[in-house]
Amino acid sequence: MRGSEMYHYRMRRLVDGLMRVLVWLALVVALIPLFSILGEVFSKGAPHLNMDVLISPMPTVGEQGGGIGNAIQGTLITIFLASIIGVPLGVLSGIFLSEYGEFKLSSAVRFFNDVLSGFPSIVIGIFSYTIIVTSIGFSVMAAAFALAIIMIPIITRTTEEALKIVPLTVREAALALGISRWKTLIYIVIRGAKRGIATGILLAIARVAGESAPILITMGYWRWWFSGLNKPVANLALNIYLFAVSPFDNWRNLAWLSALTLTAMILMINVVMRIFTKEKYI
Amino acid sequence: MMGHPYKFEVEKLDAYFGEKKVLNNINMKIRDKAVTAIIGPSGCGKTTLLRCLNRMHEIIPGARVHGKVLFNGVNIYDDEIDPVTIRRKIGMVFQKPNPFPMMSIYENVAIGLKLNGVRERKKLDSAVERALKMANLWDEVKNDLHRSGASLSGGQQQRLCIARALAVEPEAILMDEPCSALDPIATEKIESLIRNLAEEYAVIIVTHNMQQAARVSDFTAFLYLGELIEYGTTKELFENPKNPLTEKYITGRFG
Amino acid sequence: MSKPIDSGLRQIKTLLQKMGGLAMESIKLSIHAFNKQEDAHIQIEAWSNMILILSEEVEDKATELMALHQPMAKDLRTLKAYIKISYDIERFGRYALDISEIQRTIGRWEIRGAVFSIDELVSKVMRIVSLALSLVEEEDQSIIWELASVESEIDSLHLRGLKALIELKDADPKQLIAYALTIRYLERIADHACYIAESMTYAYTGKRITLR
Repeated sequence: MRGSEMYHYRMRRLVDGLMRVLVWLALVVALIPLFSILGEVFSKGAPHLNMDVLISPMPTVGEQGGGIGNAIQGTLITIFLASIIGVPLGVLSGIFLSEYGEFKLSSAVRFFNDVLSGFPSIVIGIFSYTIIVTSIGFSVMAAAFALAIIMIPIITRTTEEALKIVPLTVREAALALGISRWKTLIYIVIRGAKRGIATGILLAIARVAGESAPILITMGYWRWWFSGLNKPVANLALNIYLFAVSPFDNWRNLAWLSALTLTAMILMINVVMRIFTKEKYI
Repeated sequence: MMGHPYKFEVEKLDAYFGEKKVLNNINMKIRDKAVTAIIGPSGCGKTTLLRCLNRMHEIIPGARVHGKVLFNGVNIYDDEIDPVTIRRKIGMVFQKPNPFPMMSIYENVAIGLKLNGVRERKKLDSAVERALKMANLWDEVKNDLHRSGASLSGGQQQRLCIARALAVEPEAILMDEPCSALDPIATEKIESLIRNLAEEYAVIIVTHNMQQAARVSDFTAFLYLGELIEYGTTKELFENPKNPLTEKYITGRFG
Repeated sequence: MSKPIDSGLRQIKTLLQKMGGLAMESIKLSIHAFNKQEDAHIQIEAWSNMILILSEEVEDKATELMALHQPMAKDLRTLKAYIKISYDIERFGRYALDISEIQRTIGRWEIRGAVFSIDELVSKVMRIVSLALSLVEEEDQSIIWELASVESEIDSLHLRGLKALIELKDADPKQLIAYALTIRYLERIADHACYIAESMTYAYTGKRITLR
């Protein structure tokens, strides 16, 4: 190697090494908040974890003990109701966008879907408030409706993408076997995309499980167990908001416990999602 | 079927993509129990011609067809003919192996029958075995039929696709460059399979590879710019073509 | 547009031209020696063996081209023709050798009585051989028609020659045999020239013709 080539080679190596160090540093910096949050939530929440708190309802002012049982129940019910509305609508819109893309309407649908997914959740909460809360009052229905609207664009998008991954040739092969278009769609295309669709659904659930703003607007605070669809239910995310700033020790502890439970739920959804997507399909 | 010495009779067939005419006045008769190869440079319309034979052309938005294709003497483009039934009777194998995703080998072969209403387990089992045997794949997969179809090698996947097409008991097999994605050994297996299939079916194969057409086919059609330039026995067409265009193309002196 | 197989085909054509040149020389020398009752078989045998070696080369090269290029249409027909033609040219050399060996086999003969000449037949045969070889060189439809007419002239000269030999009074039987064999060999050479023309016509046009 000539002198100048040697020099350039050394420079390249140096820049290369520097870049690597920088990238690693950035990664560490990004991971610090994640792990410190997890650590904080776990260290503050775990000591108060026992069977009792998980099944008892929240305490009133001055009452000792109490738990987050009703909040877990309420969160699950809200998510379940939201999914009943949001999943079919989202999946069907995704199918429409992917399979009937030849209509002019679909590009408009895709555009508004993208806009919707960027909406602040509080705006969606207000929308649900004006439609449902004003007619039947603060209720789990209103909350589920709001959450469903947040879920739809996520599910629509991922369903569309998942269906598009199934190659055109697979659809053609099915049609060439004398299988009708709708059977091809249901039994072959969706089957091929089911992992992607499931991922989208779980992603949407994880997203809405932690929502608090639309919950606040549509249900507010409720410290009892579930007592009808036209009544509010308790909610983990809201628990954190309400209890964290309270003057009582046991309430603050419950706030940490709620945070831990919610984090664990979302973590679990993510793990399940990973397991779903781990096996690659073609 | 009696009285129709030809499996397919293409009459004055024109095909379009939107305003673009891709096939111009094709007339050809295709024999049963023989391999007919369609050759020609890229974009000459050979795949389109193949797809017109089982009404797959029209599934592409904007694609349409004029003229007749008689299958067993019946025009498949008649108004009262259901394209889905036609496609069941005429199997198709594609350029890239395309087993159905998330399905086992068994399901891949059985799905055509299942979705066409066959439910009996025994019937399905025997149909799957028969089809895999005909596709020369049975011995390689009989011990794990419930493995994913995608886990097979490229050549095996393509034979799986052939088995899938055979399972619904078609009367003719269309193949669109079935070996273009395969290595020479897998190609040879498919080629000998094609020869075997010709004992029972009319096999029509589109290929880029002239040597392949020469090896496997009994009749060869040469298409150029959407026109049928020459059609005859494979031996005659490759040794002694009548049309100078054919001559130029098959000797590789296409200007 | 030129293809990889083209240079291979040209090589074979060059080999055939060499073979053809040697064959022409062999025929000429064999007739010259025959007329003078000289012994030229050593030279002709050497040429004939060279032709044989060249024809093996043609065969090897042709087989190689078929295996590597899998030729079609005109290329395929030309290769087939070249293989057949190399055999035909090899026959030219062998017949020349046969002519040169007549005298060695049956001994010298005396020339008595009427004069019998094969000059006309020889010149026609040389003509037809050179026509055939020029057809290998390049396609020319007019050559085929000339070739066909020369062939029919050779046929009738051959028949007339045999009849003339029968009527030759007081001839040395050895002379009769020598002449009968020679005109027979010359006629065979002309046949092979026709085969060459037929092969090349098939190669050029794909049409099968029969000249004899």
